[in-house]
Amino acid sequence: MFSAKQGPAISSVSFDVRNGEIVGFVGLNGAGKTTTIRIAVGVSLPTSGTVVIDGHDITREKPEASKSIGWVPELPNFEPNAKAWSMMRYLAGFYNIDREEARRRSKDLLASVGLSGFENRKIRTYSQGMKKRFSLAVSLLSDPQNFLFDEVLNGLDPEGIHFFRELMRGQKRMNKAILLSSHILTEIENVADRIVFIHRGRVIKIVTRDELAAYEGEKGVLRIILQNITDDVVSYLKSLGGTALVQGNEVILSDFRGDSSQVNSELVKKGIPVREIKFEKTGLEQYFFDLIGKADSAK
Amino acid sequence: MIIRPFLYDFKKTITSKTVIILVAIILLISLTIIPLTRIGSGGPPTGLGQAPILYYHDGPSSNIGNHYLTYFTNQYGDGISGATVTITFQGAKNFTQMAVTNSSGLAFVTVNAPNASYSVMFEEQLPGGELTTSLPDPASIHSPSGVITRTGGGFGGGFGDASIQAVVDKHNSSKRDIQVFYAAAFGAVPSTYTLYYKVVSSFGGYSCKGTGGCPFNYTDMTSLGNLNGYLETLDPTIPTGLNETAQVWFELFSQTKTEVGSTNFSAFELRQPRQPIMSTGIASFFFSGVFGFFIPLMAIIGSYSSYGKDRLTGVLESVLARPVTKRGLAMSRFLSTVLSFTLASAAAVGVVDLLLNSVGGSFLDQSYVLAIIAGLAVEVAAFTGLIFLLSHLLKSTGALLGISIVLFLVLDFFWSLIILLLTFLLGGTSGSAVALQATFLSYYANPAQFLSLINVYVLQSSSGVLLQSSSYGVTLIAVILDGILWAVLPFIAFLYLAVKRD
Repeated sequence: MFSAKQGPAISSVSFDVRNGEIVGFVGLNGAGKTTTIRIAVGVSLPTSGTVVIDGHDITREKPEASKSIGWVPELPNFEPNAKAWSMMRYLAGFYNIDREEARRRSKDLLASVGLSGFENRKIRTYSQGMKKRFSLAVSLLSDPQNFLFDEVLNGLDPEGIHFFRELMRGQKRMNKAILLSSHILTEIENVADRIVFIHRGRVIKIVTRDELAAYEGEKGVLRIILQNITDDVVSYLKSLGGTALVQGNEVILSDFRGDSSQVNSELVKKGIPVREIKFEKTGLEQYFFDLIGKADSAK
Repeated sequence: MIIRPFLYDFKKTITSKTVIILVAIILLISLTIIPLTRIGSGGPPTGLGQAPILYYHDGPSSNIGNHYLTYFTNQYGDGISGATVTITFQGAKNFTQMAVTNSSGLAFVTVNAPNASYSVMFEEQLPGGELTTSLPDPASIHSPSGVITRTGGGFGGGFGDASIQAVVDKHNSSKRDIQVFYAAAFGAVPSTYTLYYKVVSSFGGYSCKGTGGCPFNYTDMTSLGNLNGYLETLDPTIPTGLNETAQVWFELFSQTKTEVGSTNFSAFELRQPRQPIMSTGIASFFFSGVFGFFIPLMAIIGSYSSYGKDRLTGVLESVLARPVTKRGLAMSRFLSTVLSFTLASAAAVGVVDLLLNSVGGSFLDQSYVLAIIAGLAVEVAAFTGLIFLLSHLLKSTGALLGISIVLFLVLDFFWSLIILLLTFLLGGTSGSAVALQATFLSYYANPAQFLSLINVYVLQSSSGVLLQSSSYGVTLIAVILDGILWAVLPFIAFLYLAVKRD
């Protein structure tokens, strides 16, 4: 992808997604997530570099590579006046699926994504969530080995998010490879085995779930709600490290590293009544912003 | 390229609702020729005053019977029934007799009048009008009783008493058949007469050989067939490759091998129509005017529907993500669109041909029909290629629609006006040779005018005016090259962008 004015949308993007693995793909808007996925799917052409799907170069061996790809874009865009049923069977033809088998699979898949009873409605009458479900059904038509889900959770209701999450886990158990891009970082944290961070068209970090967990164990936000707040208490809490912010009876310690139960014991020993004490892990979001900050400052 | 997905997309395109509707519209458009055929068939079916008239009398007596035989046919030699023939003898006393042509187009009139000198008036009334001509005084015809003499319609009928004329072949309008009109003694059916013919390389240099044949004896000629009635239509075999001066002589011989009539035609006249006959004239006007206007419009709408819209709204990506190459998808959409509209156009041409045949009794020349279908294919391919190409150069469906409409208006609607203005600006005048040449040359630059270009070349005429197309730069090679370029260039440019660019 190249624009004469702006230069390439992505460069230095290199990572793999293995069988039986869910890889999260995280980046700010415009970072290059969708561009990367579109190139991987074969709908956009790279100016250089290669994408290999199960041994097939998507640019040079497009039909072979596409056979093992299931793609759900952020905004699925099918012929609006086509009926879901006929569109499924039309697209099945590209996979050399015979008519009877296409009919059977279409029926089963539409039912599995919760679109039973809507098969004969025109796609333009579908809600965004229904279009995503339909797109998912289409992506499953050929039972591909690899899935690329681009912001599929956006705009879905909780039931829809749950459905997609369980589907991804099911596919992972079937040893399928899944690349999931999403802005909903908690979902990425919940399902991803590895996370690829992309910023300004470059992959800046790839971390495993364990590496992220280790990071999360170190830092966090400690929230303490006291009966009364005195200067002595604030001085004590500041001495624990990090930045202290006082809001009424609440003291918020960011970048806290330590044991919250030990803090509670100390406060009780000092005769300070504690109404509530809560430790929140920093999590993926903070990790992500830290990475971006480092990347920008390094630049 | 994987064939099955290619065919699958092909099938989807040609069975799409929009394409089916447009194909139906094209077929319906072909029916609009019906009013034109009515206009074209409204005139007189044959030329007034051309009717040959045969005469014989019963013999010398004080009150003899004067017998006249005549006939009327259309351009194909089919008899016209219901025409009225009136013969009036004007002398010391007037005698008038009237007859109506029968289903074969024949009329028999007998005027019984005393043996005297008369001024004879012959009046014919046809649906197209009426005509009165004078015939020779019977007293001046010194033939024995019962012997047939031609007294009218001499021109075009050759020499002698038999009338030998050329008529348009019903099954091939570029051919001419030979129709013979004659009667045996006392008006009997001439079943013992035979028509002979001979092809010669030039007109002159032949002399008559008495009653044995003029200019040829029957032994030097080829028998074409016997007469089975007063009117007989025969189809001579004319060799191909004759030069322009070649002539074909026809002579009618009696059983005793006495010649009773002869005539000659140029071989070119019998096989090459010097000017388009009426049905071809209507067809050429209809094809270049109506089809030339609507087919590009249909191709534009169809191309927008089958590719342009999908490409610019991103719908095409949902297909492109399947196991198909960009080249394969682009080609299947292009070929299916072109094939759909070309087949529909060909079917519409067939409908037009059938309708013209039902009215005029003759199919269009096959080579002309094939040329028109090829021209329509070029127009469809050119406009499909252009719209497909534009869909890769423009950013929105609105822009594509807007540019497409402008393209259609300029190339199809206002082209003649633009050329006219340019001619005036260059100092030419309408109808001048320069203007005509500018118009024809402009056709090369405009795919919407390709059918007009074909009409000019095939019919060697424009707006009913006969011309030699090569004098105006319209040659076979140039037309074929232009067609290939329009069919291929937009497609190649489109394919390049479709494969190499997002």
